Amino acid sequence: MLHLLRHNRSTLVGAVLFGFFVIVITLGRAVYQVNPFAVNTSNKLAPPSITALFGTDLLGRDLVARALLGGAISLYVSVLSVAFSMALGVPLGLVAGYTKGLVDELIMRVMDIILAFPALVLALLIVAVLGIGINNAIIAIGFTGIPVFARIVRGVVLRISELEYVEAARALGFGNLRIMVRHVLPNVRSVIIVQVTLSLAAAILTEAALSFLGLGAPAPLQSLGGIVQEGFPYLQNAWWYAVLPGILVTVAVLGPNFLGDGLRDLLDPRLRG
Amino acid sequence: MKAVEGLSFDVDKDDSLAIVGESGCGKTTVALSILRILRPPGRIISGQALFEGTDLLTMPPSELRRIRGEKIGMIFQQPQAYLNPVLKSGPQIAEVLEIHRGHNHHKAMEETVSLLREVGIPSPEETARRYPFELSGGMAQRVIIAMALACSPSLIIADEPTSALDVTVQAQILETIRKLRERYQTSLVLITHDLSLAAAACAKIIVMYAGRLVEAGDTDAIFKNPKHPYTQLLIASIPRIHSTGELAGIAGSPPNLVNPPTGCRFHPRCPHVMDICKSVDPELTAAEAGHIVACHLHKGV
Repeated sequence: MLHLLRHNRSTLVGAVLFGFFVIVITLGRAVYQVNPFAVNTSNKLAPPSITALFGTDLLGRDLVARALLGGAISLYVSVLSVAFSMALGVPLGLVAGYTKGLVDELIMRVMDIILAFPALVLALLIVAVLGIGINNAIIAIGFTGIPVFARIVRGVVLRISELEYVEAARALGFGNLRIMVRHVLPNVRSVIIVQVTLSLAAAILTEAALSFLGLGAPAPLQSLGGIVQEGFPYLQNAWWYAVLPGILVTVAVLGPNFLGDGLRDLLDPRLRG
Repeated sequence: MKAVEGLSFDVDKDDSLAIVGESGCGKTTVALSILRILRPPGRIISGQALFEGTDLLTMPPSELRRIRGEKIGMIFQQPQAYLNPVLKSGPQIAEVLEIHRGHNHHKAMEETVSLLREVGIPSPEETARRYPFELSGGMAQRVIIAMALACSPSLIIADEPTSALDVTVQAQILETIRKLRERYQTSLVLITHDLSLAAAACAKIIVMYAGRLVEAGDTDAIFKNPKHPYTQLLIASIPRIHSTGELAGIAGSPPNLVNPPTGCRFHPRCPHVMDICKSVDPELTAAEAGHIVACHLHKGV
């Protein structure tokens, strides 16, 4: 009982954090009208003040405005990456878990190969091949997230495809494709939702790391990680430049992470039941 | 391990046959094998399943899918488990019509409502909007029956359709099946462990034991003149409403099919066992017209 309550609290915290982040990012630029590209070299590297809550960067641009834009870019890249992972991972897991046998083996071995690489390293590799750019970043990060979805979906599908109502669907003359899509897949929804939140957290982090290494979305539309990279050399005398966007990244990662953990615990016993 | 061996039976149009036996005797395996929905590691090794002249066991899958749900319908034991939990019951029935009859969703849903009414559901439109977990066992089973009968199949295979239901609901469901059979002249293969149920619902009975056919014939003949000791014990174990004293059972338990008994598989539990029973497997012979039995006590008439 206490266990459930403890997890419920962190789920709530996660939901609040992430919700807050998303709302601020999407509505912030309508409310906070400062131009993130407005260069003002007379006011560069200014510490946080009433007029500039996050201070200014090396070209005097307001860091709150930049952070809002950067956050939007981080979110954009991460969400699209997860969508990409899902679009490929879910069908692969579905087919593997339902068909079983050789097809299952083949698909899962390929997934294992992808999983053998740490996400960041693999993303680096892909960006190195495809070139730097926002779309390539999405493809790279998305690619690293495919096996997780495939595995999770496959696990549930393996179990569900043995259940009685799937047998009944076969006895009614439904074809395999229809059974997979209309009868098995809807029962995998809850697992996918949980994984989306967790993958989102991972994607935001990988994106930030990629940008920090200079391989993410290029200037002038850098994500939060890109801003951190810019501010990193000034850590000693203008800490706000790197640290404050960095804290935002942390919030953006922790939020969906807690949310996903809590959702998984909430849904898990029901999944097994 | 052979779950079923040497089994053969016929069902005519508008006929009804009950396959009776204990749990593990292979009767469900037979049912699943007919429509080829047996799951691995189960396999059909040999045999034929002739339906309206064609062998189902060698049919190409696309043809078989047209037979399933359209010419042959199946009803299973636990209705809730055999319905998709995330879809409402109406659309599940409608789907059968959409696939096999090519109806659009609207027309299929209309027909679904009338099907639900036909299977005896009082408020069909409301029930169609319910999820399976919102239905009682009896209602859910009626939904399944509606699904099985949606395309007016010529044969229904019912595997323990009432075993998971209350006795009163059992009677209702049986009555529903009987009425629908009459209306559509559907043949019925009923699989059950309950001999009295078989007698109430079917004109012919076959008795299975440990994967083998041990006795078969008209229901009347089997009950009036049971030849096989197993059948006799089964009939004797049916509780009679006015009897006093202990319930009769059958000593022992069904054999392990991985290592079945030598000779007649029933011999360890048979009250009339002879020496020959332990070494020679009895063949099926005719005890009288239309009544066959596999037992050394009845070697030909």
